[in-house]
Amino acid sequence: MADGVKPRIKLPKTISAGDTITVKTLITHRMESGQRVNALGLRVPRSIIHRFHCAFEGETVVDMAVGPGVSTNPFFEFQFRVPGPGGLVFSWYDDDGAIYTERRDIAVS
Amino acid sequence: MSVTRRDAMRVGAGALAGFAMPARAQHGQSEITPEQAIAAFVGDAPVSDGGVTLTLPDLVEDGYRVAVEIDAPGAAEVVLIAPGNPVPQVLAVTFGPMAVVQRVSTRMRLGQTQEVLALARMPDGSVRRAIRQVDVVVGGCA
Repeated sequence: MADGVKPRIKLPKTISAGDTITVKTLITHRMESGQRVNALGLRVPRSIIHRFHCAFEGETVVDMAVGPGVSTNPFFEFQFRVPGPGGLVFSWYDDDGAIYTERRDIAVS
Repeated sequence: MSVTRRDAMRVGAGALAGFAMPARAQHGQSEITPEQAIAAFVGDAPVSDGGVTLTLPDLVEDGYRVAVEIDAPGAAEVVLIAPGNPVPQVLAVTFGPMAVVQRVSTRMRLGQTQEVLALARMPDGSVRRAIRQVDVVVGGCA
């Protein structure tokens, strides 16, 4: 597991069933592209988040294959229509094999 | 050591397995040219302009983080390709059954001034395309 990796998720404060909400996610990660060369002239090996997945109660909302062209601290924003109460599960897949998972329960008002 | 028939079979099987690897498994390898990345997504589907909106600034001062939005109503899949980057394919998004509005935003790196592409696969199999010219002042080596 890489150091200093912290996922953040932003959802609207109040959510009603049937609403289309904007989901914003950011994870702190270096996203080492594998293109940079260090002081010794050696290529710094690639170390990125290569996949991001979000599912609501087991059904996929978005599934992203992420390349090294995505900036440091990858930010993703997408839309989701809330069918009712349930949990959104967010997963980030690191090149080093780690999977960072966060869950947000949606209480429908 | 002589090459036996069994050895030859092994080599052949290995080569076949290599060819059969799906394009998805090759993400992030810099040997892929922009043309290959586009061809891998499009296949032999018809491509037309419009139906996809790619929002990017015209002038980028810092190529390390460029806000980008792809709006592809009704699309099943979209890819974002920056042909001037060392690794052209930046992002590929598959929309699941729970995504009703097919719009995503992220921040990308741009290595140099280039034409950025968004391709969207519609449920009928056709491909829609959007292209934006972006001038980059300081490139963010992707």
